[in-house]
Amino acid sequence: MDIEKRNATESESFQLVTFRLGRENYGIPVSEVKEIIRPIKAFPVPGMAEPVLGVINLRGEIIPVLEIHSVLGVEEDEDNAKSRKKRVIILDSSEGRFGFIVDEVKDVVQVESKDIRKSPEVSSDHSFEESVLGIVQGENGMLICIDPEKIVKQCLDIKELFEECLNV
Amino acid sequence: MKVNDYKALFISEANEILKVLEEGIMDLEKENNAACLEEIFRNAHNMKGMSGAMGYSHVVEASHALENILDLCKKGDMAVESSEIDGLLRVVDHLRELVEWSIEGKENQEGERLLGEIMALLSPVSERLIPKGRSEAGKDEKRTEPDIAQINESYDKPGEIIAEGDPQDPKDSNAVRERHHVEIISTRVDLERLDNLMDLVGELIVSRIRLSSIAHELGSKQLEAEIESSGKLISEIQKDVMEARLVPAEQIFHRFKRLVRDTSKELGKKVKFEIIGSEIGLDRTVLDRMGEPLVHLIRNAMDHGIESPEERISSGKSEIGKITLIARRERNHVVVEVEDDGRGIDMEAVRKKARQKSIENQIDEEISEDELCGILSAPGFSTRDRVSRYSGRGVGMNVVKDTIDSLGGSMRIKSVKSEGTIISMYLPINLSIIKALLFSVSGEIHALPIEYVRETARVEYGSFKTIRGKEVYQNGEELIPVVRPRDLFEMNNEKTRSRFFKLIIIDTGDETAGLIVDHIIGQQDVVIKGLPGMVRDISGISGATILGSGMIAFIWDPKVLLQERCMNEPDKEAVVFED
Repeated sequence: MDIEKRNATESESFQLVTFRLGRENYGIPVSEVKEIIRPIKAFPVPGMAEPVLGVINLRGEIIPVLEIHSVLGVEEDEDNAKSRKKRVIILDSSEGRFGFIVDEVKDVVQVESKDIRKSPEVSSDHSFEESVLGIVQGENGMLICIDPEKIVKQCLDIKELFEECLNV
Repeated sequence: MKVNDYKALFISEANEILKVLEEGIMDLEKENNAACLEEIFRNAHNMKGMSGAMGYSHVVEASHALENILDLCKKGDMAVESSEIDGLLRVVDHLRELVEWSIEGKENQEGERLLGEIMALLSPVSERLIPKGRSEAGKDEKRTEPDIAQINESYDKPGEIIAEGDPQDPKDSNAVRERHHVEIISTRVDLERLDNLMDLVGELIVSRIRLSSIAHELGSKQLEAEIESSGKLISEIQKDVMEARLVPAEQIFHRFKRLVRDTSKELGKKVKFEIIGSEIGLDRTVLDRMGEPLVHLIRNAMDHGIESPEERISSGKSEIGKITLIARRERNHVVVEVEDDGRGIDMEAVRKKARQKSIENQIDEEISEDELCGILSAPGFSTRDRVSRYSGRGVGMNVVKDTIDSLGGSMRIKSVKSEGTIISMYLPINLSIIKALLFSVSGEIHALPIEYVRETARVEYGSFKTIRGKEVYQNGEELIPVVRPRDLFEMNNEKTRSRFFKLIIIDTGDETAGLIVDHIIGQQDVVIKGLPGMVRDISGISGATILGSGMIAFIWDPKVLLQERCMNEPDKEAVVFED
């Protein structure tokens, strides 16, 4: 998922699964999504802090589930906490299969890769820019495209940081 | 294991290696890189080792020659010329033929001829490589021309069997290979595939448990009976898959014959080496990791245990010392023992040494097995120059103990002065199914491997004493430090109005501690699953398991947990002092 590469070659059309985090709308390439499930019991992993909520038992497979709000720095809606619209999006990455919780899954939209623009700098530590692929204008407003690989990388960085803190 | 079994093993491995060699050389033709070279080199080296164990001297010589050439390339950072690839491939063909003759026990008939041909193929390459390291690159270009000619020449000699068809086409030599086709009776299965099967069986067991509880709810006797019988089948499959994952100890034992032979020559000692129980199966991971510790132990026995022939005679022993390597099954364990009839461990020296180093504060006149084991494998007790003057034992002993510990095994040492020493290692047969004690903390279920659990206790609230502010539980004479889950992980015990605590007394061999838990659920066989990607490598957690209810329980590694806690302790105390 390299924007520059995509732009350099011909623009291609692909589908995004769109979902809501807090009050922002996000998208993730359909091709990356394994499945979408209703939240099930996550078992907290001893010694693991955020953003890993825990692991779930998905038909006998142990899969870590992330709290992606904190990774992206999105505030969770208070009244949203018990929403029945919450879903877990499961996908594969270089670090194995994982899932993350979203507040609502909305739609599947078609976008052109040439329409994906770079995100403006919105945070001082660049953590947001580092986890997103770019911004695209969809039919129903702006979508923030996220790159699962980048999310994973960010989570591992957080984990490392956490471990360093423990060791000091 | 019978000779034929060795042979079957050798055949399957040799075929594998020949295949890799051939492919590797062909890869080298496509992309000339160091990784490729390394791969071929390693395989040539393995071939040498394996055939050496079988006593196929011609194969040894041939693979040694090949290995040498590759080593020259590697060391000199030089590429194999593309023109030489053909020659190397033919070397592999010859090697294959040589292997086949050897397996049939007819290596003498054709061995010399094939070996000669292999050498003829390799010598021009080595001639090119040796001067090249010293001269400039430009000069060599000229040298290669006549070399190829030489290769072809040696190739076109009359009587040559293989020289048929286009030398560029490796398929042609297949015809030759097929003549000595050997029937394959064993197959090598990817370990990952076996692990996968094992996982699936584990899930099958879990699903069966669920099914039977549903059948129970439904009250259908017929269904229950059917599930019962399918359960038996599942157990059978589980047993078979487990067995399939086991590898005979032979696979690493055989290489020690050579070690003993070489070391005894080097030390001028006479030693009879015996292997018992090499057919005993062990988990592949366990076996892989045991190679190095066994080398240590056998070397130790040779070096320090067995006396010189003169010394043995003067103390009334047979001139020839004896070292026995034993594998046997004992309930849930495989016991691997190294036994020697040497001088035994000098207890006086150990005691003196231990006092000096204050490894053990109180050393009684008699050192128990456990104490001995602890002293010898204490890290400070293992450096060669310090120890070898006294007893000799202890060299790398902590490495041995660490390996065994990490495999979830244990070690015992028994030594009688001037009669000998037995070092016994108790290893788990299987690493993927363990017996565990399940307990809960704040509503989540966790598991402890049963071998670390000494007992459980119900303790009245307020009965803990404190030593320097740290809680201890008095169990008869013994004082056991109390550990709360929040000391280890971020988790708290449930608030309870009960007057009693549930305490699990953990004993890792090095340390004892009482862990306060909310509930003790019971013992169960659990299938260990590694934790995936983002949550793997968590210190103190060795894996997870899925319980019959579908819940995930984490398997704790008390050794790591208690050790880490202790390491943190001096810091805390230091703070207290400053205050």
